[in-house]
Amino acid sequence: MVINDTKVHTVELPSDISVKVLGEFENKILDLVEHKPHLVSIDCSNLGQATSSHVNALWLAYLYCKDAGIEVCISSPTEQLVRVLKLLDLHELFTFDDDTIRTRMRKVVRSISSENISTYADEFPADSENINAAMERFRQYLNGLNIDKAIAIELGTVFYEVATNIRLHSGIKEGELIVFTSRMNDERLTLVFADSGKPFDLTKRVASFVPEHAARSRQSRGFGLEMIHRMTDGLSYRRLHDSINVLTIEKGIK
Amino acid sequence: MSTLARGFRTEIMGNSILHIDSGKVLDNNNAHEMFELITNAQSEGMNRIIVDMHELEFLSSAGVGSLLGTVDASRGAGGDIVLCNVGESILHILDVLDLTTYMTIASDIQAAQDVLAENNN
Repeated sequence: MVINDTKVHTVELPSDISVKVLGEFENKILDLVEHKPHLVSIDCSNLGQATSSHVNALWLAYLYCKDAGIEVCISSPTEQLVRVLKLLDLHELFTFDDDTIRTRMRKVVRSISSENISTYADEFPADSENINAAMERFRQYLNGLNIDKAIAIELGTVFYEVATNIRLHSGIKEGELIVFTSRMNDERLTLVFADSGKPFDLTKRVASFVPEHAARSRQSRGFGLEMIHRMTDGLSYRRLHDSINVLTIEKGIK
Repeated sequence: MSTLARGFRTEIMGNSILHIDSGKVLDNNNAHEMFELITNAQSEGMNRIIVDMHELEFLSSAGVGSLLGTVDASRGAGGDIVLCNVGESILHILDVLDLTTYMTIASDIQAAQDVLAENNN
């Protein structure tokens, strides 16, 4: 199934969760993961009473999907299932089809960041003043890392340019949040921005930038994308739930 | 030093050189003011301009645009926009955009004045 350019695959969590059926469910998840959807939706509408086997099945689905960078959404959960997942501290791992956009944004960026050495998270209204304040917080975080000064300068600038582009061009409403996380491992820093604006893909580069041409045409705007591209090593964009823009930025630190 | 435009300290130096202090931040909030300040000066025939970045800590793409979008007019009229006292982090941003060779950069105000005086001869 493809919804608005976001690949969503659905699998039903059966009520009968005998060893044989559990194995079949597991195989279905593994097959789906092979197709690399953006999201696997697990339909729990026929679940009835949730048992530890059901929770195990959901946990396995989560692990398989997480390894492949795929989000897992639980669809039509019973109140009892939600209660059990909360009791076991598993609720935050999944998105739910009745989650608010803000909750989903938080879960998406958190799920991308949970296994890394150093993680920084922030969320801020998409206005000029709050973007500046958030950039200062991020720059302070970067200054505390053992990374090259030039890389820290570039990442601070990229943060500002991305957040400002979201503010100016995604049509995000005043007061709506940008949810941000940065994670670091030995090789790289990964920045993730999530917002609830209209589909807005910053990874699409415009024309190549030549200073002489820009100056001669007296161009005074539109350099932000060029800076973002030149200062990063990888950009990817996903539109999730037909409501959330997720921009992931990679930057090598070696 | 007087203030001719909101947010930026400016001074008219000898040989009709306009000295602009960029302040600490040149970003989306004030880049349009920098652009207007420079284009207004150019329209009054003041095409030799020094942008003094001794305090500048952050330069966004909009800030870059306010300089790049105005430099051609100055050069076309026999002047230039010279950046001076450019800190390491700002220089790095300019370098990423290949602007350290395109924009005229001087070490300090005196050197910037010398460059503009040479242009005038």
